[in-house]
Amino acid sequence: MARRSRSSAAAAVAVLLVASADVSAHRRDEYLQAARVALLPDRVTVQLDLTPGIEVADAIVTLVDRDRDGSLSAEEQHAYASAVVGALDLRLDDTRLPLQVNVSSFPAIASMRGGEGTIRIEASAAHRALAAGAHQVFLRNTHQRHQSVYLANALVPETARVTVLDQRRDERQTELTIDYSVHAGTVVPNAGWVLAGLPIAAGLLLRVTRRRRRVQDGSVQ
Amino acid sequence: MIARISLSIVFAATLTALVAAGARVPAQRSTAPSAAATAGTTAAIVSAAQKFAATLDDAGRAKVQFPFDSPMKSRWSNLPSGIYERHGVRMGDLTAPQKAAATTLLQAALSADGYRKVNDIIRGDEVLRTGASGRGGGRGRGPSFGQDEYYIAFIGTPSTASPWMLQFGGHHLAINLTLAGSQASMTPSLPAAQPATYTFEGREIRPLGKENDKGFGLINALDEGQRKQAILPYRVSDLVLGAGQDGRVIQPEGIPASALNAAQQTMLIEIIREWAGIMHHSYAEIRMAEIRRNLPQTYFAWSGPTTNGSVAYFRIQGPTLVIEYAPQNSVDHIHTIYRDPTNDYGAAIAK
Repeated sequence: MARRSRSSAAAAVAVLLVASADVSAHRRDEYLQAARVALLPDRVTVQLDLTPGIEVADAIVTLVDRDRDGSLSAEEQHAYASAVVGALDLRLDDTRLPLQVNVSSFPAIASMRGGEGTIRIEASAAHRALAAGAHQVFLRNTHQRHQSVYLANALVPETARVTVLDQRRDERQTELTIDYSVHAGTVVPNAGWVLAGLPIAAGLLLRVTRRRRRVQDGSVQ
Repeated sequence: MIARISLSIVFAATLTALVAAGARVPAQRSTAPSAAATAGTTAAIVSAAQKFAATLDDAGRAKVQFPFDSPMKSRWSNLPSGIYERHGVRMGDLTAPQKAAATTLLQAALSADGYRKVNDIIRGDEVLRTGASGRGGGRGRGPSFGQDEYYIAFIGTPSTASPWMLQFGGHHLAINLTLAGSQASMTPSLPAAQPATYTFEGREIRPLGKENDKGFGLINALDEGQRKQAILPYRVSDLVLGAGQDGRVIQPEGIPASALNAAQQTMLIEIIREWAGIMHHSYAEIRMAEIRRNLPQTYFAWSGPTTNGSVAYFRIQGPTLVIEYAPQNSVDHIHTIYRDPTNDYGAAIAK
């Protein structure tokens, strides 16, 4: 117990020293929010990297660590990721798309307070397969506007069926408009679904084959 | 606008083809006439690496050596020690003969200009530690600055045949040099500087001064129409593809080199050389030839004022190249990144 108290005290001192040190390498008083947008014919994915500067880290930690117990529980992480994604306005061809958090990861509180920690959130919105032709995605990030700087970029699409034509932003990059075109073709199902479906398909095939055999043998009326 | 869209499509198609034909890339990268020269360079680097390792005791060798397929490859940062934990051998822990061997290794691996740049960045960090603003710090007491806080590591065993990586870095510096026989890749690497200007032995030192001046030189060599294409109407506050952004390719923006005249294209190539030319010149020339081949699909984008001395960001992006130059709210604190989306960590050559 005594050892635990000493190590906790040492950790607290280390955190304080890190927090008070002059970290030259990163912005100090701003919350850097970098967004990347990946486009598919039937899905929009937004990847966010959120890095609080050393002088705003406490405020961000307070937003996440709601019970102030010094650790970020899964519920607290999920709640914060949902709040961040809730502050995003995503529109496809002028129609709002609801984003769902796919995955998020949070650094240790100490590294956030040291100006090093980056919160990563990925959210996506599935939508109807787009018809071939021109389309437009709009993304606005209003999370912590008073203390943030923003980066917003379209990723080069992973499929040749989508081509990004143009990107437009406001001066702060809180808003990003992407003009893109979708080319004709078949939407290839997600590889994960294909893999997951293979055993089911194999099972069905086996059942059909057995049934045919039984029919041929006359064992099934 | 139509030309811009067409070039976007050409860029995307080229990139897709390059990624799809990843297996063919190594053959396209090396050129037969240079193979002997680069093999000789690799042999010299391997020899220097082995001599450095021989100066270390068992504990030192255990610290410097990591398996090639370990996650160490992508563990690097621009942050100072104390904030970011580096692995490898710390320069400040080396004896004078060990430091001399490490210096010989860096000189073998880098060009003369590249070694000078690395040295100027490290010396700048020493100025940051000892200067008027005296960041100081020390081991175990938060962030640490200065020339002792740079680390050297081998990812994979130094070899003239098998792939391995020489990793050298500290605050504001990450050099990741992958060698695979006669081929080499020095991406991703992150040369940065703070202060961006300082005095050493009566001389003014600007570790990234040429990058800055050549960038401003090109933007000011563009005519009004070209500038309209090149200048992004929004602020870029930081690197988009800095540390931790491996494997991501953003949509290129700005003016394509195909819309530049010959003199302007030469200026663009000379900017790129400031990063591509950090590694030994025999590798750098092959890399520059590749960059020249892809020049028509390479874009130059600018954000900020165009008067030299202002805080301005620029990006150069082609099918096998990303360079970003990003002042951190000040002309005295610069971050840059140098990547090859098809060959970071030697992905295309280390097979």
